[in-house]
Amino acid sequence: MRSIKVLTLLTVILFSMSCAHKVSRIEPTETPDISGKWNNTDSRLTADEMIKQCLSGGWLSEFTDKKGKKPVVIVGMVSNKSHEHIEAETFIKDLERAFINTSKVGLVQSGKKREEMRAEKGDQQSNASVSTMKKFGLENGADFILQGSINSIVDAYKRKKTVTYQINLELTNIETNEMVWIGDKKISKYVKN
Amino acid sequence: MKKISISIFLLLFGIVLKAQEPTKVPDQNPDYKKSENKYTKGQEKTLQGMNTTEQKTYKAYDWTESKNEKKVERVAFRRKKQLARINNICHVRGCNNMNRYHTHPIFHRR
Repeated sequence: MRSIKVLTLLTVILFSMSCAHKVSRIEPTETPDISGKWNNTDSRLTADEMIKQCLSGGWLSEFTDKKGKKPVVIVGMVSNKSHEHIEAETFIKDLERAFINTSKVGLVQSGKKREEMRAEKGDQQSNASVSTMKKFGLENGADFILQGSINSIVDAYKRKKTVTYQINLELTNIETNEMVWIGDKKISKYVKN
Repeated sequence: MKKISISIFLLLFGIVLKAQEPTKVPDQNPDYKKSENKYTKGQEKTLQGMNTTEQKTYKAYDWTESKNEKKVERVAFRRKKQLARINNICHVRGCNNMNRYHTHPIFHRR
């Protein structure tokens, strides 16, 4: 009778352990493919490819030779025209970090962060001391604007599906409207449910 | 004397006007002011989207997902229908009637 009780208890413990919510930590570089959707690995691969292509592009040396200074880039809008929700900031930030770390390209703030920065400058005009107050109209003007698009092609039949993502980033000279660099990364996946 | 003072005034006026005029760059489009005026007014809205991802996603057809969606829809519809039936009984016979489960034709079929 006692052995039956012990066995029952053990079974209950084992069952509850197998059903327990489990979390294990993994390296950010080792994200496994679970659903087949866009994930961390895709973002990382895109960032690596874009950094490599952008920093080795002819536009950089051409501009530096011509103007005698490093180019200043502003990040514009990225359009996600794929079938999934993809946040481009994950790989754009990696690219920006590479720009700053290599000191080859300068960056200026854009979007909401720039608005916040200007608002702070505006606040300083009436609250900060004259010696520390930052003046308007002394911002660095960008030479190039970085814009991009994400597209996808889906082909699905019954339990099989192929997805191809195409990520394009473009760098355009703001003054001349000349496109000086186009970065391209294609990712294809075969998913079987 | 009067002529001299007028000419000096005109000269000074001309200098001030010239100083206010923006310096032109060689080969610059003479109509550049039109574009400058157009894009210096109300550009905030255009620039708000900078450094963001504009989500213009589309719904891709997936056989398996579509099948699952239809299944979920079917179950939800049945549940809704059942609830509507029960609520209808309450409305007609009154919810306080304890015998409603045994008197309604739906439950007779079982």
